[in-house]
Amino acid sequence: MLELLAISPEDGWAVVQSDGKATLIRPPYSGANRQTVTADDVEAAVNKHGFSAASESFDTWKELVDSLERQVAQSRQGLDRNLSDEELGKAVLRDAPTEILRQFLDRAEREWLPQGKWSALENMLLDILTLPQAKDDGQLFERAQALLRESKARKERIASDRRRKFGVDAIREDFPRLKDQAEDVYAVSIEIAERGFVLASGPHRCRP
Amino acid sequence: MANLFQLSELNTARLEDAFGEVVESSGAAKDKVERFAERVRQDGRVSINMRTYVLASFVVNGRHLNVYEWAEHQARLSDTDKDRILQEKLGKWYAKRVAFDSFFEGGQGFRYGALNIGGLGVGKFGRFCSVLGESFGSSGPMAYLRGDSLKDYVSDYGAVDAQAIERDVAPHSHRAELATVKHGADAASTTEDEWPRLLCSDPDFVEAIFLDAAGPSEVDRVRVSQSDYDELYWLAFRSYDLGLSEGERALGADFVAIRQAEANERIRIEVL
Repeated sequence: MLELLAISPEDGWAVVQSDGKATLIRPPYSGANRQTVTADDVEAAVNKHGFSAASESFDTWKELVDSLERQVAQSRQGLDRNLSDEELGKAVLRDAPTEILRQFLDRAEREWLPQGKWSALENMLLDILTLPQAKDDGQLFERAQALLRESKARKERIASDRRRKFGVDAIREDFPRLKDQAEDVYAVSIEIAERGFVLASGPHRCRP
Repeated sequence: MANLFQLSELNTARLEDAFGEVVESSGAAKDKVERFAERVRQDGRVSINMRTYVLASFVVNGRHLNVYEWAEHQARLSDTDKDRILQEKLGKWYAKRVAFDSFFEGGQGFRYGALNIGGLGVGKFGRFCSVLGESFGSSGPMAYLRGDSLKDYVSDYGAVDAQAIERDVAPHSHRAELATVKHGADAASTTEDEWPRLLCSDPDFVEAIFLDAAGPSEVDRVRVSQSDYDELYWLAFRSYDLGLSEGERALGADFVAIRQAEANERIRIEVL
């Protein structure tokens, strides 16, 4: 059983009691963001750091975290600084130092490129390529461009391999005939629906 | 009703005596202890550690509400009694908070910070260490206690230890004496690089209590660790890939507000 002792609903920080031990958690709710705290800390959280006292119980960490996430969403409704994921990415990159951008490129190349995360990779690269600090740093800019070219090339290569493997090209050639068949099936289904029963009488209309 | 700031002014002679004793009893380390005191005298500022959300609200709204002001604001919004809101918010810790603050004249206007000579401050509940400017302490009422006011000077039943407060409280002019009485022996046995952590870190600090509400313009700099700062940037990276949870998105939005304040030169961030 997990007992919520204190919470800051606007940012999702919370102190949770479990197995006689109090733990401070904060987003992102990974293991690294959990810290054992003392009873004095819990009191300080409430009396000095703006937390609210709480007394709610949860069976699992997932239920607890879901509840915290809901409270964050609810309590920030009136704030005018909320951002969507897309806006957030752009906004953080806008003032990001080139060293951070370089690290982003390193990691994207190391993880996203081999995993085929084209959308994430290309969206981020396109945003980086519009940044003044990237344009001012020739090496960084060229690297982002090269990564974008590599991403597009790999994506096209993989798509081409798949088309060959699954015969998509062949299907594309046969498309007019398949389209006719689909239209016939659709017409029969409309007829069945209008008659109100499944076993429609009459000739089978689909061409062989 | 006691006046904390007057008490602090009345305690200067006692602090000077205690300081003298600590220095004299330091033997061969006397010079080092005096250097520690001088460091606090020169660099001692008030710091307030803030979570990302709190700092973002501070730079956007221009002020940092104490709990009574927050309750008053909520009471106006919801047409509910302020004290009831406060009781609900503070729960079983309400009695101690109110006992300390109502013991003193104007206590509901108290704001709390820590004496800081560098470093990241008391960071458990706030990774951003906002350091107020040099002039802040000398311009308005300011008092310092040897430790955490609620932990060290109020019992669990809400009894305030007035004698201990009278013994320990210092005005801004004597913060170095107070810090040296508390830490002189430890300062003698540690390197000077370690002094900022000795004076102000989890779980121990010299508490600063003051009345004036500091705005962003009173903040000289905001210190944050490189690893904490980088973690906030990496939220952006994740936003392109996995998408963010509500809590992560809120954290990212608060970070953006802080970065904008920095870009507009409303605050200065110092990454350590």
